[in-house]
Amino acid sequence: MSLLKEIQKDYKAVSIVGMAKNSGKTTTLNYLIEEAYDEGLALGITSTGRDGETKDIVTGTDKPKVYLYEETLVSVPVKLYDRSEGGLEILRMTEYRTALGEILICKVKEAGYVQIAGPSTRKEQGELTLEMLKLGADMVLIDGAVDRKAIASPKSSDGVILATGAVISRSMKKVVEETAHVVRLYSLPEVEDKTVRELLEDEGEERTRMVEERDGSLKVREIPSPSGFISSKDLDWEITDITRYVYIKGAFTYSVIRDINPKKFKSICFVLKDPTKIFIDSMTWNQLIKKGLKVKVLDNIKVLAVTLNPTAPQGYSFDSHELLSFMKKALPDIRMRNVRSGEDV
Amino acid sequence: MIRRLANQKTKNQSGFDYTVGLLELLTPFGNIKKKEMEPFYKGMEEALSEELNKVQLFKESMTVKEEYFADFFEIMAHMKDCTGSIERAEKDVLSVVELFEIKSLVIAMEKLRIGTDGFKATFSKDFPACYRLKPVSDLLKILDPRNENMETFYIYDEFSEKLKALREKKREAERDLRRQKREKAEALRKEGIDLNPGFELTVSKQNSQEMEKLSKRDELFRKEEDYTCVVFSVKTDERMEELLSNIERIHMEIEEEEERVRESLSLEISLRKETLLSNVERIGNFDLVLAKAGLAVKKNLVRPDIVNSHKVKISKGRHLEVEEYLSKKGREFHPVDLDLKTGVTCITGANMGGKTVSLKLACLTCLLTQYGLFVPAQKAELGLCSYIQLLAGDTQSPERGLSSFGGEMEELREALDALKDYSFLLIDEVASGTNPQEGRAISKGLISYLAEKKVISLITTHFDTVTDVKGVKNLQVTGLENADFDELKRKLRYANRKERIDLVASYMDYSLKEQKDKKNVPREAIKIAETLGIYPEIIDRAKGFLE
Repeated sequence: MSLLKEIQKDYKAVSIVGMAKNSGKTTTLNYLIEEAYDEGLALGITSTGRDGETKDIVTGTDKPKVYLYEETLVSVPVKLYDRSEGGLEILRMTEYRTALGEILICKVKEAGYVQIAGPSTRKEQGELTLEMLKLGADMVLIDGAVDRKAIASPKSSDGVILATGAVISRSMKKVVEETAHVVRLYSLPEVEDKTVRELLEDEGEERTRMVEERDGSLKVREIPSPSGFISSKDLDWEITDITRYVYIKGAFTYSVIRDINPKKFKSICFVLKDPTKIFIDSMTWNQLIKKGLKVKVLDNIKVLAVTLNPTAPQGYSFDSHELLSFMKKALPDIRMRNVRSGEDV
Repeated sequence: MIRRLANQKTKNQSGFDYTVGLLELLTPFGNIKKKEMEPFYKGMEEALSEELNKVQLFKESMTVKEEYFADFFEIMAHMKDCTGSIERAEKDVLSVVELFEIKSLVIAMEKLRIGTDGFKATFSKDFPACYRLKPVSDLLKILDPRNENMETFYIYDEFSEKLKALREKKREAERDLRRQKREKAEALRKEGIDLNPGFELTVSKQNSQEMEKLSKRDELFRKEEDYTCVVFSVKTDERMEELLSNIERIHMEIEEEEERVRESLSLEISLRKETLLSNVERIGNFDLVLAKAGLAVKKNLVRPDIVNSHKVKISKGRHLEVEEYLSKKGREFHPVDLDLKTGVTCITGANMGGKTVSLKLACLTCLLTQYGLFVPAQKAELGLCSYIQLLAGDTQSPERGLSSFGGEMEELREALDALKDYSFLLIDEVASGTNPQEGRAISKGLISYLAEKKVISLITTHFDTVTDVKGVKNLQVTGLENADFDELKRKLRYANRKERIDLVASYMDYSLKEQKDKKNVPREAIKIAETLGIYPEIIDRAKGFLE
């Protein structure tokens, strides 16, 4: 069965996220579009940024065009409408403004190359996705949204397809390690305890807080930060034997936990909004986990598949079979595709 | 010289700009109309009454049946300004996006037109003819060849038989091409060469065995290559080559035909330009009158009565900006009554007594009326003015800070220059920026000068004796006259600084009453100073000096 058909059973909105620039996000998108065409799936396609350009602005490397088939729904800004080679029926002009004009929701009437761009905020992205599903798409592919809040569909949970490849490192071992690390982080467990979730989820403004157990019940306490900055030492000092959860706002880096006595790890659990807040490399992460570090998130990210691009834009490439089987060993439960060849395991 | 009713400063300081800002326009056309609003001058009483009647009609119908208007609001809220495209259609070929926008607008116009047709049936009153839209159903039919009445647009096959045929031909050729490619891919797969759905295969150069194998295949060619790997793709044979060039040719023909369709649609639009633009104009006016009526409902505004004599009579008038400010503090606005005729009226009385607010309120009520809006009052009876000017201290302006007296005199002279018959002049704290003796003298001079003019003047002043001038009416702010001072003092003891001022204000009676006995003027400044805790040693001496 095709990758998309499998995923589509459970997920209606799928983001394609790249591990790095040129990890083959657009190649993945093209691959999935071809699959959808063969399977007869009606796709909606949108992007968090401008996509479908022939040149990647940052690195100057070739970026494949997005060729869309009839009946595909697509978001296109006004200024790119005339530049699309495919025939597009305008269904609706949205209120979402971009530098390239308002976003139009179009239906492809004549297959051809189309330049895609979507709204810039996550809320708008979510609304657009719903709109496309309402307009008849079987599923919506979103190019490049990491944060799961970007996609909100009431009927189904949403997930991501992670694009990775040779671009990450010249060492295949490193590519596999880093990819597996990201998948593991994305799949970190969510906080399940209802009381704790409620204590941490409210409050419009994000703050570093902790949940403490006092007199047999859980209470949330904000960590005072007169300077707006909480050092690792402050944090260590605040963590006592009644501390149960420590909610860290913003980035979760090594320096945040560097000065915390590892003996305290056993009795507490760190909580983050979502896994994209973690910026700790796989080696350090593994050491910390061994010392007993526990991390949960309010919202994790469902990795539905990993796609591999064995060729790096810098010019080198790996043997695709080898890369695929190594990756499969590291992530046995994840669907995988070589998007250059369509090969799977 | 351009005729104008009031200068920008008067409109701003009176709270007129604030009130106009409360108008909620739904369409870009209505917003233009709002910006272009022109006042009604003396001599235009009839036209103004007509305008006010329309506002009244919609205010009433909105109160009776709000849901009738909900559909209009929905239609109008989504209108986009594409008048530029409509104008352009005469000499240019419009783009697909432009045609889409015009079609959307045409659909909205038709919906609005048909919707307003039911007005009489609902309210048993005629829908004002000036807002009635002209039908554009013939244009809609042209822009909607499938008769779907949906806001979607594309150069549909139905626009042109030729286009339809060309597109079919192209699709067929593309299908053919793909079929041939797939056949080749299938044949290769049987020999163990697996292509991806894009009919490509990437091979590492290190894999020399595979490289050699693929390089030998006639069906494949090296599409891309760098120094480590090669992308092989299905080679096009002669037949495919022919198909490709055929597709390219048809594609160009399609583009030409699409342009021809756009050209003919643009022409159809340009033929109806006058109707479309006149509808846009009407929608703008309709939007504005609905906004005026909506504001009247929301803020409880009434239709002012327009009279031919020069007078300003306001019962229970309010000032919306001040009212909003007070309501945020949990306080109520004390409505003000005013009855002004040609001649000078002075408002005297306590500090903090709302003299300035009464002044601004009078100015605001007149401006709103002459711009065809309803007014915040229980009742208002007004004659149209030829010119209105408010002179009030401008705390924002650094110039005034540098020389408040000089600035005030400069402004006063400008106002006097602009003054003509049937003007309304409002001055806050006349000549307060200089020493009291001279200030009083200047005020008296000014007041007796104004008393001889065919002008309504309303002046607030601290100088009590200036109202001695013959024929000058004196209104006195009731202020703290009836307040329970003991209670106030008790409350003040437990209040902090900010609350204290609010407390005193809450005991103020803002109502105005005519002061006939000009000797008995209450001196409330000392009272207020005392209440706010100025030392008895000072208060006692001040009282002594006063006597």
